[in-house]
Amino acid sequence: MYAENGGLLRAELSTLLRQHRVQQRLGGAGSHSIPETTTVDERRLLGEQIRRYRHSALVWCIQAVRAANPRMNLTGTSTRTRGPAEELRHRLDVAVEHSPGLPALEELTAEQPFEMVDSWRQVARAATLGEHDFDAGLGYGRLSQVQCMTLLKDASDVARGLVGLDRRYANIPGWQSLKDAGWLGRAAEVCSTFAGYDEPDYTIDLRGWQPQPTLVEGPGLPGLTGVLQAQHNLLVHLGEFPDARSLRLVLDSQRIVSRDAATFDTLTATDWARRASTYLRLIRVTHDVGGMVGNGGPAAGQAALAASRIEQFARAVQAGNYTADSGPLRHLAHLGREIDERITQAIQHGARERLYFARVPIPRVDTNASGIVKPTRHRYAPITADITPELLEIVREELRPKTPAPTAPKSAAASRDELAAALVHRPEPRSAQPGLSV
Amino acid sequence: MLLSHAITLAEARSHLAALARRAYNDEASAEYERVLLHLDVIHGDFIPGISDVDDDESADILYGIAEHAIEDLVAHGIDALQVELLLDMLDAARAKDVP
Repeated sequence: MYAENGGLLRAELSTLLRQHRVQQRLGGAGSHSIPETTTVDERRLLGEQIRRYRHSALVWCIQAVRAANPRMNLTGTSTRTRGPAEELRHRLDVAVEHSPGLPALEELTAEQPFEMVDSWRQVARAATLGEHDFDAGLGYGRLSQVQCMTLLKDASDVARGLVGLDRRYANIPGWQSLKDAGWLGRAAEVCSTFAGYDEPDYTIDLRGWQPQPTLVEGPGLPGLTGVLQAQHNLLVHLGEFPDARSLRLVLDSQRIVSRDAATFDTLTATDWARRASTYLRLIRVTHDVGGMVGNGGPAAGQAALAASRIEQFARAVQAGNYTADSGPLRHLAHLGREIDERITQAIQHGARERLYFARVPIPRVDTNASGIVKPTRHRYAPITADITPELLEIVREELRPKTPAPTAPKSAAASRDELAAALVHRPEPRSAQPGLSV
Repeated sequence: MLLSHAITLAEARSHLAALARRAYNDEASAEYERVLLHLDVIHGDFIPGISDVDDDESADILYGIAEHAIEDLVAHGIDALQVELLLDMLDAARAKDVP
């Protein structure tokens, strides 16, 4: 997720920006009390390694700027005609072109003996992992204008930090500065000011790559935890499109889950009762819906487990053997909302792609039928707004959960503030040497 | 599926749907729907549609026709145990269908 990768990148960069006396941190000669532990050649190699780590961070910056402002063709443009974002991207392109290349996998995974180099490794690691975020919900077109500006400011601040560190590392043996570091620093500052003009939208941190939920295997867990297990597994299996028969079984199970949850979850009993009523209406309007495409067998199995376990649990609660805690109940409600969302998507997808059908009587005599009295012919017809208006209306108006507006993580602003403070901080003055007092 | 089987099944489905629609409370309605769902699960995907049933008929008559149609399914090759389970579910739904 962007919050984790971006946060780690900024945190490690802040740590590096607060570190001075770089030679000593690489084992170089310091004061008379700190011995020299590395040779000049070794420090040169460490410098090359740091530049490779820096290359990863530069590539991340380019990808972030591209995601926020994907103007592709910069040829024929000049500093005067490029906007702040385009100028930054151009300067980053130049810097990457003259950079030594990406670090090897061993350099990213193996812990480094020097703390400063290990911080650089963490920066490169976060940048490498962060590349997945841009293809998973953080790309252009999925972000609002304010989110694009927030992403642009994040990238600008990281670029500013890299330029600042580049100046500080000039004394490392064999160190090669960023190409046109002055131009890059200037472009990053301008872009940071430009992108930070409006209020940021830190809900961007909720976007990015996330691991796929996996099944909770093993035997059925006792009590409400067993219900949560089955509901979770149902949600995972609903990732696959269910056929119509399995869908009806899932609808029936969710009605039972809601009905029984209303009996022991007194705080939100009204919500559960409303959900049970919605599912009952859905069951009624889908009892003549068919469709063989899809595989809903595993989902139907987990749905049946959830229904039977919650019936058992409700009986145990009534008998006084169990009590329902608030934590698992909140989790159950959350899973219910996610299942509602998934079922909504499945029905709407089935209607749009003509995968679910409704048996409707066509006003036409079936002359092929045997017997003297010819019945009207029944045919499958794709479920559309004309054929099953009630089904699609219930799905659209009642089933789809009202998701609250996303709120940014609490640490989002603090992470940016820390990097901003590190960018402008000044080293503490050396303590005054105790001298002879007169 | 032979035509006679399809007619019996359609009769059972239509009357179960009518019972669900006319039930006194949601719980009974849901139980009738469960019988219908179980009947569909037994038969697979190729099943006849639900036809309109005369609303003037009393619930007792609807119940009797549905029960009779389900019992007749044994003659069309449906497992007798499954039919008994359906009848039991239908009976349980009927017990809840009270004003």
